[in-house]
Amino acid sequence: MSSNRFLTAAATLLALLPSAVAWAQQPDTGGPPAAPSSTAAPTDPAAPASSASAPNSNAPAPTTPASDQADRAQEEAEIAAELAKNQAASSPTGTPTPADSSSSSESTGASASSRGLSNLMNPAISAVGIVLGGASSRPEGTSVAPGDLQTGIFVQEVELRASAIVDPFFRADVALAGSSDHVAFEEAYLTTLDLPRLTLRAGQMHSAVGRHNLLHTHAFPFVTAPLPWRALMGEEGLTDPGVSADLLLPLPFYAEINAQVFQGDWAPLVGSIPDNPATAVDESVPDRRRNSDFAYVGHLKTLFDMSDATTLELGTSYVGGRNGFAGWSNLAAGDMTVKWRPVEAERYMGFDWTTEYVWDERGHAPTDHTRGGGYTAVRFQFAQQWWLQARGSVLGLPQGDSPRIWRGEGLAAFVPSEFSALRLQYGIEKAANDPSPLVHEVFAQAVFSVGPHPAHAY
Amino acid sequence: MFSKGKVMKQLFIALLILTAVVLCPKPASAELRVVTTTTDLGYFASTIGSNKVHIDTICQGTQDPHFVQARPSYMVTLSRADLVVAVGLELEVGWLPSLIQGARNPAINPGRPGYFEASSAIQAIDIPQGGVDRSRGDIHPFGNPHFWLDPLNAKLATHAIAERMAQLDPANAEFFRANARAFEQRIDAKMAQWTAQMAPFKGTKIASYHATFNYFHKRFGLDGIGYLEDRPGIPPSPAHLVDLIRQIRDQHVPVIFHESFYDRSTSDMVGARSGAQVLVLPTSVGGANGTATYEQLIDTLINQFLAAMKKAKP
Repeated sequence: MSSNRFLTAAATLLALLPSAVAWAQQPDTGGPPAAPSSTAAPTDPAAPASSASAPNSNAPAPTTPASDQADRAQEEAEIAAELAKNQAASSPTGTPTPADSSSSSESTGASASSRGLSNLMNPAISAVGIVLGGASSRPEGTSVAPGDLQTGIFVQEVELRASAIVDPFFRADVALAGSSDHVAFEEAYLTTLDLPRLTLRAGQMHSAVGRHNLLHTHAFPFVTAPLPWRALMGEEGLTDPGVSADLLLPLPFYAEINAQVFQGDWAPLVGSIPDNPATAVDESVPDRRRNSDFAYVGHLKTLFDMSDATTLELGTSYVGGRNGFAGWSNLAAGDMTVKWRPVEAERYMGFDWTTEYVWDERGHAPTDHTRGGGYTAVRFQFAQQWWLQARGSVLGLPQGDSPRIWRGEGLAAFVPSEFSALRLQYGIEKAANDPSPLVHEVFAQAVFSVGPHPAHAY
Repeated sequence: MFSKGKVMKQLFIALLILTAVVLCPKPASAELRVVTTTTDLGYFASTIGSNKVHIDTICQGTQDPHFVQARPSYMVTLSRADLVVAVGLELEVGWLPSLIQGARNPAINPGRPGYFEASSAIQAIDIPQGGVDRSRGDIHPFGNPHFWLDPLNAKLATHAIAERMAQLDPANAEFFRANARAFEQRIDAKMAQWTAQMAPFKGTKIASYHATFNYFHKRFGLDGIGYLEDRPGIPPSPAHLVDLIRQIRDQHVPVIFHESFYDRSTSDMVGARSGAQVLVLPTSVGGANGTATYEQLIDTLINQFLAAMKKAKP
């Protein structure tokens, strides 16, 4: 039954994809765009005032409306085909944005920033939304790790962020993140501005464990965090109230050390085990973590320039703390990233390859005493707005109490601008020594961000 | 196996020592260390500072200054800088803020004497009127940042950078000012030549890929009729290109200015369909062969334009 439903949903999604791509590449056939100036071209009254004409247009109106429209349509189709062939452009022509006016402003003089003076002192406010929908053949009610994708349509996350310089000494960042069922402070922290070589931070923040744990959901390279990350560190990752000292080492290459202390209410450290109602024996173990049991995090990140276009980043992390079983938990992680961006075509091409591994050991834990997992992912940008990506991950390496689970994901992303993205991901998952069939998933995701232009992390 | 207390204690002592070592005051370096975002600003600064300053430049002349990767290695460079010279007007908004934050160098924080935006010395053009939102693409709400292709703006910027360097290194203040004056005089002399060269072409209509050449157009009396990239940062749409091609044909626009770091296939196609010549032009010092100095950069732009106009003569 459920696999039938899955197939139908998957087929629908796949059928929609080509038309979405076609929509993105098709010329605007709605009629000739209206010119903004008084000497307008012949205009179909039904046509939206769309993305057309350049400023100071004095062009006389050519030929009759009907034949001109046909000419235009043909020329547009030809150009669209050439653009697609050139792989350099493919844009949402005729996107029905309500305020689609493109007359580039040529005006000089008078300041016309729409921001009033009073707004200058306000924090930079931005909002990010992620809508996710798709189908999974995973039987309902089963799950191998928190955050497994389930069939349906969701608001995966809405994030509201405010950032501002507090005074000459501090900057503050607040991010409120919510999904369909809960809202929480993802981040709220203070950062020092004025110390040489050193940044101190205090508040709720992502701990500096590897690379992926530092990412916000909307910056995830794939729809979800890697399987082993969700299984070992929980759906929210290692994020908690804490303090951090981030030190830039005085070396000829980039090397940063983060020394952090967190409250540490995290999956590798909590120790409660709920009773299994299926058995007669009471296996429940209460969490024996005390308020004074912190998590200590250390992280070293280095980056080397291999050439003008290529960098190699190597990082290593450690998390330690007394766990809820009254033992000591250790978590170690390593990461490696190679990035290539051709200097003269950074907008059009890029490649990166990231591999991360994480291992933990939970002292006194009755099950899953040691766990581990890793992933390797490649991302390839082949045109200004297009990315292809693949990731393979494994949970239970080198071993674990539970069976080893393999997962593969492929993703295609259409990124119309820096502020939006449409992504389609296909995933498969298989547990070793498990007779149940392969899990298949197809998910489509739309991401938007509004607000000030973001400064991108590398 | 780790034994908890011991390891943590040793780790923190090691970190404490490291912190103490690192936070020791920097040895006073003899020369002013200047980091510029673009090569043009780098050329101005090195003209002013000559052998008495050390200059590093982040964005290469062949690189798109909107889209520099915020590589952490630049943070290392910035961590040692006494002065950062940026273009401003949000040209570097996508990468410079995170580099400065990562550099952990209070001297170059915005608002300090060690942070200078050269665009503060010039009069910005193309400030968007009316409602500003991103349906118009990734626009610059405070005006067009590509001011440096107007030689008179280059003079203003150089003068202002020299004043800032003089403030930070008073011992060499007169040296910096004298060098800036010499550069301004050089530009004045070249300007007479450039103006004479361009005079016959006043009012020539030009299309370009991005709004990079508007200050150049304005200075030399060219008439920019439009852009291939109708909404900045978003690839041109076929509908817009059809309009532009017709406009180029109808108005007999002889050339399309194409910035060397954009994909040229679109410009070539528009050129082929409209009959206009495509000029692939450097937009910064070092952006092409023979543009090692600012004067050579403007010479290159003008010479290529003149050669194209010669060919275009009916």
